[in-house]
Amino acid sequence: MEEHTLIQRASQGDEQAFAQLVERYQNQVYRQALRMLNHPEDAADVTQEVFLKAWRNLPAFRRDSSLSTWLYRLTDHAAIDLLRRERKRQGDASLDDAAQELAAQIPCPAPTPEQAAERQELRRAVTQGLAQLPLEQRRVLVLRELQGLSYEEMAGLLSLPLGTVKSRVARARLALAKLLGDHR
Amino acid sequence: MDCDRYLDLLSAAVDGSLSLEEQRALKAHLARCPSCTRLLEQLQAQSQILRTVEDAPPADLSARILSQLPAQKKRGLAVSWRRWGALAACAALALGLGIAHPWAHAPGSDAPQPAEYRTTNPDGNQNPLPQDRCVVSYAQPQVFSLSALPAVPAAVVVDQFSQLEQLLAHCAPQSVLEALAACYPSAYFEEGGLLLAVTACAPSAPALEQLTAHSAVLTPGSLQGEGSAWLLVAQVGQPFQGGQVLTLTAAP
Repeated sequence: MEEHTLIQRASQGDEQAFAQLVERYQNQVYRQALRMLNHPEDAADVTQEVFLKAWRNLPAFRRDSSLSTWLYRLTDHAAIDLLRRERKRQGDASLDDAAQELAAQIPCPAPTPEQAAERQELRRAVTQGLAQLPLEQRRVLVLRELQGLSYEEMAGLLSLPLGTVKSRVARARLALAKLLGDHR
Repeated sequence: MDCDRYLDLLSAAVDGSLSLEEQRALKAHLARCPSCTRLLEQLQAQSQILRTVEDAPPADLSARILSQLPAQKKRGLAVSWRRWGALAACAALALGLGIAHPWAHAPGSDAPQPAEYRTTNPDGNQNPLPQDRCVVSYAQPQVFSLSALPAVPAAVVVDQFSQLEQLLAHCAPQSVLEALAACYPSAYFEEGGLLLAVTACAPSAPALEQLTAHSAVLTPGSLQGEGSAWLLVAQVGQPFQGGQVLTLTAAP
């Protein structure tokens, strides 16, 4: 069934139609949440929360934007909210500080080209490096690289000027490269 | 070598979005900078890996999602689209706010040029808002027929449903309020949703003509005439804030 038909039906309360939308998008939503939070259980909870919000708010969703972008926006906000709540619970210690401390403790995997032949290993290193980035850098890389949003879509989602988004992505890429590697 | 200023170009190279001129500049730099050459390779490799990361969710996740859905009554709004003239009047306003898409092909609308708009702050200063990203792009107006003109300015931003209810208490039939409540539950506002409520009388033909010709300044009362009052709601995003009063004027 066409997506717009599914959206139409789901927004009128058709659970079967909504189930098909969940099937289509749950992997991407979960992946985004997992890479933001680096915690499988929290990521599953956030995914659940996102689809509940989507269910409630579908009538306000306008079909001239894509459903995926809308879901990524909900996921981004839900993950940020969770991290903020966690931060509050843990007192004043900033999450980013905690992540940076962690990064300082854990030796960087720093794969050389030879080791890179082990693709699985490299993938693990990259996702670990991503998890160690400060929140704002991690956020833009997840939206840009994992979810494939355009810079224009990101600027809208983050309420930032286009140039700021581009330069934030560039800095996040450099920070990840520094965590992983050996240059400069 | 001042490599830092090449970072944006390296990142754009990863995206494959360099202009010809930028390509030449970067190529010239890379020819004499092994460090940046190595960095570019690494940036490309890590991006490639990130783009193909697969994380399978727990097997029972979709079942969990579906089991928690609250039962909900059939939704839908009785939206009056009868008077395209009034819609076009609203369209003239809304276009000015950057919500161009929904009306781009609206019958009876001559795709008017964006009107100028300003916020009026409590201290009376007028500040122009940034032109982009003020209005969520998928916003679409819903036009309701009301029995009287609400006592509000041309447009006001609301961030709680109760505020909208308050605005309309004296002029909207219960059925309209119920329909709106179903469409904009509190969860909608929790998501950062903001509604722009625009009120205007259904304009007389000459007033409408004036408006679409951008010679009219729309203020409450200036379009008094036959017909009923209209409410237009559309979702707006940052940097609008709840309670902000918007004064809408046609571009000179």
